[in-house]
Amino acid sequence: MSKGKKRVIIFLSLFFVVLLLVTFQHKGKSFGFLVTLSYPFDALNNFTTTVNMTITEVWNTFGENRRLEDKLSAALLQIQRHDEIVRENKRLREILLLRDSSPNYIATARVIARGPDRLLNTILIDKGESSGIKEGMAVITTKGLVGRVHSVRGNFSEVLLLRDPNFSVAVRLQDSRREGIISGTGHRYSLLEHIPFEEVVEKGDNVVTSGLDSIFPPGIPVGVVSRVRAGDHKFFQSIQVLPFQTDTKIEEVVILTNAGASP
Amino acid sequence: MSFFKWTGLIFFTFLLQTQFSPFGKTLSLSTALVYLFGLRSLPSGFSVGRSDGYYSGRAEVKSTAFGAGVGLLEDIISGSIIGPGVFSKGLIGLFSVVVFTDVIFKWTPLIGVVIIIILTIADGSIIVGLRVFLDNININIFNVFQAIFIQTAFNMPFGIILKPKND
Repeated sequence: MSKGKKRVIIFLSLFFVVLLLVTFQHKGKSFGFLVTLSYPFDALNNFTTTVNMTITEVWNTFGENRRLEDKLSAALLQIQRHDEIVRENKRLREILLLRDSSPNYIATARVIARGPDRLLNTILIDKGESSGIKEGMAVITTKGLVGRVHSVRGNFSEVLLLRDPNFSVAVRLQDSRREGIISGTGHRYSLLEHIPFEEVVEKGDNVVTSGLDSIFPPGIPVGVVSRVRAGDHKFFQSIQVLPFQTDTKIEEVVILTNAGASP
Repeated sequence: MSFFKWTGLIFFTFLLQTQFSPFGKTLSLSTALVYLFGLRSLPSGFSVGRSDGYYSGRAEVKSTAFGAGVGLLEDIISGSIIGPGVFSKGLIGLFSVVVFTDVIFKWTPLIGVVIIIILTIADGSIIVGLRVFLDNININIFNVFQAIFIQTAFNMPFGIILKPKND
């Protein structure tokens, strides 16, 4: 038999096998027994599908975790911004109240930088001559005295802080009404001077401005007595006062005109 | 040993074929498997291009039977009518041998690629044609072309990798 005939036989055999299979199925009969052939494959396929799905799920979980972390960071940032706005709002409300209750009010300003002069303890505020600010004016916050205007430019001013050694203000002990002078030391505390030994001063006494220096309006809170020392070789007591307003926490300030002067 | 090797290969091929569906289309790695069997069923003394009227009827029968078996398994797994896969893979098995004994004179990687392209297209076309004819199913011809194109593209490397024993 030639190879062509053999190939035709192979082809026809294949064709008739397929024809038989198809005819068998078209008569509504099924090859249920043949399905058993696929059982091992189905089992392996199910296993690999499960493994594949597990790996995919783990991979997706990593991605989802990353996305959620990003969202969480964004949400935390938003919460921080919100908190900051709430705090700012609170501060500005207080400043507004201070402005309404201060007859010597000139302007409200934001602190924009530390002072450029290394030898002085100063801060820069964003209001200047154009807002009616002049040298020597009192600078306060809702907590108390900050300092006084040291120099003025068109749109900004430099404020000399309470703790600077060049700063001094006439004050009064709030309870005993005893007058004195507070001077900066360059440290965290200021010194209350000219309080005689017979005056009883205790730790925790409040100090306010007296207005007698014609610079600062009376009654502005300055600080609290933190230490009292009676030296043997001096005429006056040595009293340390911690300012109410810490100069590293100042954000908005109010500028007041000099005591006695009309705004 | 050879039985286990081919059984393992069949399992591995169908595993890959069902697990990976690039661009949403099923691959036709079983065509490459039948092609490989066709190549391997040629006797060890055979070399492509011999002009002494060599004929290996045994190899053709073996390869056709193997192809029909793979096609049968494919039909069972796909859950469709049993027949199209048997016929197409059986023919692929037969042609895989005939092409090396009677059609080409020298195997080169390019010819290998051309052969596997033709076999894959033939396999896809026969299956689709028989399914349409026997099952009366409606098909989107663009989707069919797309599927056959992807199957061909993925089978092309096998045309280079798989070669006759003595080349």
